[in-house]
Amino acid sequence: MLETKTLPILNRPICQNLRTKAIYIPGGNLQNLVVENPGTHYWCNCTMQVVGPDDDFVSPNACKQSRSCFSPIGGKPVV
Amino acid sequence: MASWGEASQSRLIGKRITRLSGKDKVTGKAKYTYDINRPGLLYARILRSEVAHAVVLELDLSRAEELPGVHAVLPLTEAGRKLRYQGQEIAAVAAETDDIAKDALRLIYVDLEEQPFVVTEADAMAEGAPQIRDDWQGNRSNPGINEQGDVDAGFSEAAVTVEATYHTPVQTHVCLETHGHVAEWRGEDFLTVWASTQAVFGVRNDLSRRFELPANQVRVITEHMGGGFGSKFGPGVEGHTAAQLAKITKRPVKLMLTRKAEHLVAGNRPSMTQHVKAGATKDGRLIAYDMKGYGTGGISSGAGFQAPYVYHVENQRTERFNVATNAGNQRAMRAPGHPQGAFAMDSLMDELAEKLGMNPLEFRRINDSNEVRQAQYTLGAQEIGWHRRNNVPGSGTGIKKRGMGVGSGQWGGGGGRGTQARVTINPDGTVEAVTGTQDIGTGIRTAIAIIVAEEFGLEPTEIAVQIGDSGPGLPSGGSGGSQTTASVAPVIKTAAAAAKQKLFETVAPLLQTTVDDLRIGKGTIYVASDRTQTITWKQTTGLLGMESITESGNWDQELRQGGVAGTQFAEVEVDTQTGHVKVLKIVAVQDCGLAINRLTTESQINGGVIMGLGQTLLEERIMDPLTGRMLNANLEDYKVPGTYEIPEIKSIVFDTHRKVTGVGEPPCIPTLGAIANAVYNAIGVRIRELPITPDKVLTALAQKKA
Repeated sequence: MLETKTLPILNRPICQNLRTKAIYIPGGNLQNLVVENPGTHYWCNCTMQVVGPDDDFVSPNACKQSRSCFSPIGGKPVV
Repeated sequence: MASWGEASQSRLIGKRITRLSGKDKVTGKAKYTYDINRPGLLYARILRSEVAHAVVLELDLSRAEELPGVHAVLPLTEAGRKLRYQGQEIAAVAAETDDIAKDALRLIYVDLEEQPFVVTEADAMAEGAPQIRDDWQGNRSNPGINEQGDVDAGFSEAAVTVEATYHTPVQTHVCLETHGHVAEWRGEDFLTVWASTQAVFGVRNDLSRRFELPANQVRVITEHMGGGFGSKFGPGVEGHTAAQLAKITKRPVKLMLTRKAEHLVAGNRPSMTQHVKAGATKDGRLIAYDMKGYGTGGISSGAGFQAPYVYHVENQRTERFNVATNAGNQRAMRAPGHPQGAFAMDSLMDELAEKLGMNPLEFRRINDSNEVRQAQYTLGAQEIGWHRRNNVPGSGTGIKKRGMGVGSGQWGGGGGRGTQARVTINPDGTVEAVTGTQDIGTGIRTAIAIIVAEEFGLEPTEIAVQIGDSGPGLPSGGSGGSQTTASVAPVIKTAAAAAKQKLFETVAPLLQTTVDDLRIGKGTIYVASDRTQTITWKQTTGLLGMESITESGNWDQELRQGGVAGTQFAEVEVDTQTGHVKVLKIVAVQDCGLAINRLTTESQINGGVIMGLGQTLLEERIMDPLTGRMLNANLEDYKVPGTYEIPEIKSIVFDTHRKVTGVGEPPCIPTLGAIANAVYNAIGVRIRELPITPDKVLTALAQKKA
């Protein structure tokens, strides 16, 4: 039986609706989704705004599991 | 090991090839998203906030819904939610005509409770300013602090120091084709969207998630697009809205932003303010650098900039933070953070050089470890005639004074994995190249044709290139970070090489020779060991019978390289009576790696220079601190360079190696410092705040005189 491991990037839950330019371009720095980069613009794929469906700002630090709109990678979108 | 071969062996690659889509674009045949008119099309518009900060108390769409010709009205906010900047979306309408949609917007009732706002950095940071982001203190993000070496010790070694404040304002993208989409549903479970986007597959993936559709049930098409400059990655509110309205109405819906909305909500380059102290040793070594700075990206974060920039400083301390204002959020814009940083750094370098009594070019040479740029300094200086500059700034005679300046830049652009491509050779000799990238104006369509045509001994016009469509299911990354060519070209090259190999394997036995002995000539295939045995391309492909050859490629790292250096020299003429700055000439020496198409590479350099010139002399988003509104959200009062402002541009493709890299962004970086330094060289007064408009020039001259 294969041993399964949690990928390091999934150790810290990431909302699948968090967006930054890096995920759209080849070779983009995906660390920007995990570690907040103040030089980077973040937005939410649900609202297409800098705030999420709950009207609070989005960023790797702000998009926590405790938010009502948080949707883990592989989960359903919150519209 | 894969390679692009020797320059002497290339028939097409590296030559100046006319853009394949050029004729279609100038004749209007090329269809942009704006031009897509589907049967039964509805027109959509968005009602936007005209106030900078408010809470929605009530939103009533009923009167708009009752207007004849209106098919759907969609709320984009709700009671209790905040509106944080002018332009933020309130509701959208889809109607039979654009005029009806506009009328319907006027029938929407929205009651707002206005809130205190700040739209300038100074007001946002003032004591007692209204707090507009709950997650930041005093409208400031946590500062990013960096320290290397011993700054205080560095200053103690310095023979000269300069302290100065440099500022660049917010610049908007000014995409000639505004953001927008045409959305059409087939039933409940297939969505087709024509999008003005830099990321066909990015928009597909975002929309599939938003509408809970499998990715292969969303098709995004971008045959041509009219500029993005970093602002067109996701579908945006307007993309979601178009698709939602189309779903509700079961009709295709077109939603393109107005020019005003484009300025307000479709992104911008953040401002930058730097307070810098720097020191240099007597022999011209940059020894200490201390910078505190900030910028505003409106309501969002991301107002970063490069500081210090390009030149080596052993001892440095930097601190920078974002300032939140009630204005539309920033988005990536052509070389994010670099032009602002370059303007400040290149101005600072000249100020230090002058204090040292040193030629600013020599001062750069001492502090720049980049060998490519060292060679560019020599070439650029020769081309502009650097010896003609004023040894004493402002010493020219007459009303119109001339001056010269230099600036520098650097970028990555080495591409990345993620592109899939297919190259097909058909029995009739036709060739197709398909991939999911998009041509954002840089000419990747033509570059693909050149690569394939080179491989097959054909002409670029003989290659049918299909891009800008997610339908074929061949993903490619978004066009950002100057990554497109370096990401796509290696995959196309290896796909074409694989198809050629397959063709050789098929026909070699029929030609009674071996694969290794076959070569491609112009329109022919021949046997290397016996050049008399030649067969035309079409005769060869005719031997395929009824079967086409289709091969895919892979991203071979050996075919690309990141990291480019650039230098620009500017000559300007300043009218000391009117304050008008006319740029006479820009020499742009740009490291390009292997330029697949020298002509479109030159075009990219030209475009970068023009955009840099606009940022230096013309462009500025002006916010009214009293009303919270943008005062110049149009193209009359927000100035971009036109034919009168565009100077002679000498674009020098500095191709030092045979690996592909990207140059979409880097040419806009050095222009700012080059022009600003040229203005100083002309009039002898330093202007540290962009844009360098006539009022600033006259004020500076008056202060000098006083």
